[in-house]
Amino acid sequence: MATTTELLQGTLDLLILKAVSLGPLHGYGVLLRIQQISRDKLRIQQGSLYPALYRLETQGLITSEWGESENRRKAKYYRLTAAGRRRLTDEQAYWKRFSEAMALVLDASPGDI
Amino acid sequence: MDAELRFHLDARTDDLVASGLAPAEARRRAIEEFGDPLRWKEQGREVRGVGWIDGIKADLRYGLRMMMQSPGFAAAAILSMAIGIGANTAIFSLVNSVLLKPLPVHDPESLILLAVSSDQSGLGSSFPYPFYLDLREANEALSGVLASASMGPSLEAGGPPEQIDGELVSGNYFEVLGVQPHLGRLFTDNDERAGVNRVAVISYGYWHRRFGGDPHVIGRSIRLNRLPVTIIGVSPPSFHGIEPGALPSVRVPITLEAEMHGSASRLDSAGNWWLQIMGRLQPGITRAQAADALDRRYDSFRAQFPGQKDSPERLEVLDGSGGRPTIRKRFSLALVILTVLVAIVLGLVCLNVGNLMLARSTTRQREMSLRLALGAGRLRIVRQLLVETLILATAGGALGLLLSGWCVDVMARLADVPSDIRIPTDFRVLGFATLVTFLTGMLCGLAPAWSSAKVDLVGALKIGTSQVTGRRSIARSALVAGQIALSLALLIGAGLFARTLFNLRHAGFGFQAEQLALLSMNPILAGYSRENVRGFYADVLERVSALPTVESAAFGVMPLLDGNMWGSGLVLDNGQGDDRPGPTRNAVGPGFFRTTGLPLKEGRDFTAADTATGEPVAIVNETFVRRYLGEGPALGRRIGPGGSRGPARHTIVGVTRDSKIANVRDAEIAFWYIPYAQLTNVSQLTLHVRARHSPEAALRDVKAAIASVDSGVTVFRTGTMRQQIEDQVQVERLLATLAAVFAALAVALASLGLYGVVSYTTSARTREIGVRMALGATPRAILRMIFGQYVPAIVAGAAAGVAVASVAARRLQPLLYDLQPFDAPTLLAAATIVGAVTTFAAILPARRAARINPALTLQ
Repeated sequence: MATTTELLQGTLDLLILKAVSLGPLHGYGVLLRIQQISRDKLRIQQGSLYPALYRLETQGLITSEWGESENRRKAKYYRLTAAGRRRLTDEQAYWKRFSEAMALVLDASPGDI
Repeated sequence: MDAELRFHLDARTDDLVASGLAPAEARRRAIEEFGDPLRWKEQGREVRGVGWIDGIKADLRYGLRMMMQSPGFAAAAILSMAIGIGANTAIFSLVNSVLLKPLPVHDPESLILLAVSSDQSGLGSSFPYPFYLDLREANEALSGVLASASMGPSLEAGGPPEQIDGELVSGNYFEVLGVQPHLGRLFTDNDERAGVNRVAVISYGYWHRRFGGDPHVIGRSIRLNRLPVTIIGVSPPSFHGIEPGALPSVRVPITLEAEMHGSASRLDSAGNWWLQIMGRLQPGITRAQAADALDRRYDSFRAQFPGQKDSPERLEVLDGSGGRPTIRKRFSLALVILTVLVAIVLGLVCLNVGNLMLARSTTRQREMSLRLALGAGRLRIVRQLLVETLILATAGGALGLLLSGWCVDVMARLADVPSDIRIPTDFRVLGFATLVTFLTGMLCGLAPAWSSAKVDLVGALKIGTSQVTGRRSIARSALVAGQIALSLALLIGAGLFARTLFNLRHAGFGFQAEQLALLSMNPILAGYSRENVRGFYADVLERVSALPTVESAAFGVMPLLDGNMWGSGLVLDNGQGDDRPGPTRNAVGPGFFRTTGLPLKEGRDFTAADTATGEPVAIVNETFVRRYLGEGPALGRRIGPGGSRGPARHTIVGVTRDSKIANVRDAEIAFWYIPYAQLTNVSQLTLHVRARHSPEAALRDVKAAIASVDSGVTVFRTGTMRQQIEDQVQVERLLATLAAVFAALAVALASLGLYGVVSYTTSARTREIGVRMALGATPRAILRMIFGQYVPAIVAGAAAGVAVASVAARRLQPLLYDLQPFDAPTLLAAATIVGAVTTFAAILPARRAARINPALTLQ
């Protein structure tokens, strides 16, 4: 198994929003999607996924409805709302600025000062 | 959430199987990866803001566990709450069915009731038929108007005739009310046209009692006052009529009135006020708007018949949703008082259970402190305790609801409620019970919860510190005083009602009530003519007087103490008179005064010589003399009925003592008597019988004697004078009995409360008492010390109770009889009882404390 990275505090919400922005997903699907895109580098605690989903739903960022899964099981599908899309854009921009800044700081060599 | 969890695990298992694991192993791994689903669920709920459900669930589990641990406490609390809630629910059931429940008809809220009022005679509720017809014609305010009048016909259905309650109704009666038949059909307008149909609708209750619920009763012919009528329908079981409490068994169209009574028709007379009128408002019309419109109609009606100068001035439009308010008026004050009394009982229950909880919360102080120290919020502790009391209250409420059903049956029997009338446990009663249960739980739990959450952490966690803090013992003393005050107030109230009932039963009636019996009959209804009815009465009197069980007997038009008065105005020989309200009178046979035991002060009784052709005579009572005749001899003066009935022809030949006439509460009624032989028309008379031994035996013989004269004549309203008096004190009896029960409960609760408090505090002071005794205190001194601690509370409670009772009793005045609200003997007796019982309750545990063995407690 490839080396995996534990999630940073507060990033799970952003990952979920991104995952469901690519198309409606059920909870387990969200898990798979994130692992797949991150090439198994990000590992999500299965137990903390659902509270996060409910939190986002209560905040009105995603909505859910019952549908049928690939292997004909009843599953709850989550989809991004308009508010969720706005939040995703904001968070993405913020995250980019933040990681660029972090990279700058961490890459700094004595010559840069 | 469960479904989502199941899907997740299934999907993960499938993937793991696909990657080569055995299904069972895959499942195990999937579950393991997921972690604790319970924690996940809790987190999920907290995120959604429903986390408190888990908390309450935990509280419920914990509360139930605590209850199991102390079943004695739980049983005591539940039982006392059940008694409190049950009694309140039972009284509310009565209030609901008498005061709140609307008539069981279609849309009762749009019904109105017409009444008239005048300055002289107050509110009246009768109207003449022509006015009713007037209202019925095109009407902008009402979509329907009905009329009815009660009657008491004798009914024959293939057996001996029996006297029943009936009602004359307009053809649209059922239609306006929106009542559907149970069987057959109900009346239509067509039935009201004179001479068309002689039809009758019987009530469901009567159908079952008399015809055994036979479906073939439709089309059967019965005889009402000998007039053959055909039964066309049965009214539904829930419907009794427009007057709650009255249960007419048969209804016939109003147009049969004259034929049934063998008299001239009242239908054309504008001066005969005999019909009750109810209407249904047009949609969108308010009662006030209708009142305007109807008032105009009434004015033009009065203008149309100017001869009616006595007709009341104003028309009143009243709320008709509850029907005619006869029963309401009779019982409303008593029910309000009972509601207050029973609420006090519940208050006592709350104080008591609260006290128990408080005592328990002291023993649980360490537990609470521990929870607080471990980081539980104070609100969380309060919630826990409230949940615990609510569990108790819910159990108490459920038990109370069962109890209330039984109480209602007992009360219905006490109040002589006919079996046709159901006192339902409807949604209002259930709602009330739920509300009371919740309030009880909150009230019982609030005080202990509050004080528990305020514990001093450091002090309480130390083992062995004294648990009785000063503030709590003050709170407990206040609770004790409050309980004593409330129970004493209740007992004083019960005492006042009991004395009122006694006074009414044993009032100086003026006549001899014992061994007196009454029977009414009306031979006219059995086909007798005006001429031969007198012969019938003479025969009956002769046979009855000869019976060995009968001391003497006499007829009278108005039965004694049956609630009705006959007012006919008065003219005097000096030309003066009194028409409103005027004296009331009776027409009686020879020997009436001897039979009833009403003593003559001067002059003579009527005799057989006072006939229609003899000199018109009269006997008056003392109040009559005082009010109308003034000084000078009364005998020899002449009087007569008022109105246009001619001169004062009756010579006064006797003066009687004052007596009760129509009601046990009568006082100073001006009254006069004439011989019934000198009435122009004689129809219904009541035989007053003085029995030689038992009145019941005499009644049996008299009935047989009447039947031997003519078995076709119905004898009705038979009973002893004692029964008659009991009927009159129905409300007072209900009030006195229930108030006594509630007061007994209250005193028991208060003493239990005091007993509990004293035994709890003494057990908490066991060590201290042991020390005192070791240092030389005598058991007597210990007893005095412990008991003395509660003397101030008992005295203060008693004083407050007397104060509350004497203020509240002024409100009771209208229900009391021959009694002042501040009745010293009642106060004294009640205070003595409460004092004795509570002292006993306090001394029992105090004595136990005084017998403590110091050597044992100090080890």
